[in-house]
Amino acid sequence: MRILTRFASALLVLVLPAASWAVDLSGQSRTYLQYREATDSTKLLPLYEYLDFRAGDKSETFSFHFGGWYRYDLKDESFGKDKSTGDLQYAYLRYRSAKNNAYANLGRFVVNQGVASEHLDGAAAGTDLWGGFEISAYGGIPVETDFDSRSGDSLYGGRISQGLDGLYRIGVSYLLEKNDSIEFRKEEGVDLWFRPFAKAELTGTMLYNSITSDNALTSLYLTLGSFGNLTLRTQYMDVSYKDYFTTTTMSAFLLSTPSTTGPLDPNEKLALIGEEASLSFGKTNVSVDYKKYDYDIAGSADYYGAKVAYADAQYGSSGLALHRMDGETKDLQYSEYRLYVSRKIQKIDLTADALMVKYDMEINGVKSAYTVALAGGYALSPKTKVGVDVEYAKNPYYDKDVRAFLKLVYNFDFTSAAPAPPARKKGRK
Amino acid sequence: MKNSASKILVLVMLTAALAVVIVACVGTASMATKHPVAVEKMPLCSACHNDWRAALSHTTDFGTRHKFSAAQQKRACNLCHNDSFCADCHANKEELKPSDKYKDSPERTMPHRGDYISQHKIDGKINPASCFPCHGRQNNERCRVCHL
Repeated sequence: MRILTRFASALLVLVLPAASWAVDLSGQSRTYLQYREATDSTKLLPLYEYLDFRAGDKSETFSFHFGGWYRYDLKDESFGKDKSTGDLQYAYLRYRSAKNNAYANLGRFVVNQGVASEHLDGAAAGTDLWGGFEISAYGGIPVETDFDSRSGDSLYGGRISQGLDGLYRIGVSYLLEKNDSIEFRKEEGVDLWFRPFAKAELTGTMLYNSITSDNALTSLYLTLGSFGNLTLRTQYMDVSYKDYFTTTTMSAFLLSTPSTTGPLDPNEKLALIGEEASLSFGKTNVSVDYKKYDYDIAGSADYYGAKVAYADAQYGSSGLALHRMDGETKDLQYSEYRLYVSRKIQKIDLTADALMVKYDMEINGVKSAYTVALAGGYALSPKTKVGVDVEYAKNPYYDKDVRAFLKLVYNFDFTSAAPAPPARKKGRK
Repeated sequence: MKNSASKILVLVMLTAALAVVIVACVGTASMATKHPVAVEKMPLCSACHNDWRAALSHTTDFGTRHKFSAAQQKRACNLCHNDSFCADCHANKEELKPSDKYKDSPERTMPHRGDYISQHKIDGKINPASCFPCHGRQNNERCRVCHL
């Protein structure tokens, strides 16, 4: 821990020009040990360490953010290749101005700006402008599953938005990704948040594929309420497969075209309409929901059900949910049930979670899937917690699947004192 | 020659755009980096705020609509959440399901609970666009064991 603190402090001192601040360091270490069995009965025991921290000066003008994980297999290899592996999730230096929400990021980070929700090795910057305008831009190398090479890959784009506080914000965004210097993705989008009055709120995004020159996806969400205890939520989504699934690094999302053999029909279009009516009684919420999936080719499917949920930050939570999927084909007909209870008693928390799915059509000769999980945790100190859980499952792929999970979570924070200002010599003004 | 001229033109335009941005900056204070009051889990932002922040209320449907907040107001998410909170689910490369890490938080919306080997075939047929943002171009090394 001390080494980590010194490393982060030294990094900041080296990278950042000021020398008169106190450095704040805070973060979390999570150690996980998982036991499970593969389908070929191989017993697996991977050990994971997740570490994240943030180090910065008190004014938060400059900060460094880090997150990553490392896995080492104590028994057989988890994924048949390497006994150990890891990932650098993010590591970037951030400058943040005290004015205008201006910022600049440099390193590996995630960009969420309109059409972009991307991992990137590069730079990003943004600021507020007059008249409710905001502007942001980014550029670098995309961090994606490497399916050829990263040579010649690039990603850049930006977003400009305008809004009136409390009433609306509308943004337009652009993204261009090149793979091996060839245009891979070229997307434009509109994002919207609109609240014409206190009990109505519309939010959504629209994605246009500039390579296929057609709309790829529209997603809208309308919330009405609350009217007393009642809140109504409406969801709309449409997807054009030939325009949305144009670039992927996995065969499951490939389109079936003369040049690619994939499972997705390029002529398919999905329109989804969902409605949820929710009644809230303090900490208890009762809701019924319905979703209608309409396909141009595959027909339609209805998903509907109800749930009751109770949540209390001090005592725990519980819930019961029942849902039914009614598709036109037998493989899309099933019922699902879930019951969970979580209870906090001083330093201990206990959780039981049971899920069951009953399929109308057998999968591997089995019509039901059950999963029961029991979890327990104990707070060793305000900063340290240990936990253990055991999961038992019986489903079309496992006659009996038992998994266990141990975890140790440690939160840390550290503040180095700012150097004292140099003492003035006596007699000097 | 033509290429150099276009590069100079782009440079001049970028410099001009930067100057416009600097001049146009509004001069207001930046948003705080931490929420000034400690927030308990599943906060109801609308209890205190009646502007755009009300939309951040973590009602039971927030798992479905949090993508809209992230696309427009990520800095508001960062008032309470570190990057690692997002990275638990939205990762470039991940081996543990989020629901495996958080069995002690059953109230959180996590799509991979239970027997997801059977369920992923159904979800993939019903709406592959719901899988694509997380697994289309990244975080699919485990998927690629079967789906090369």
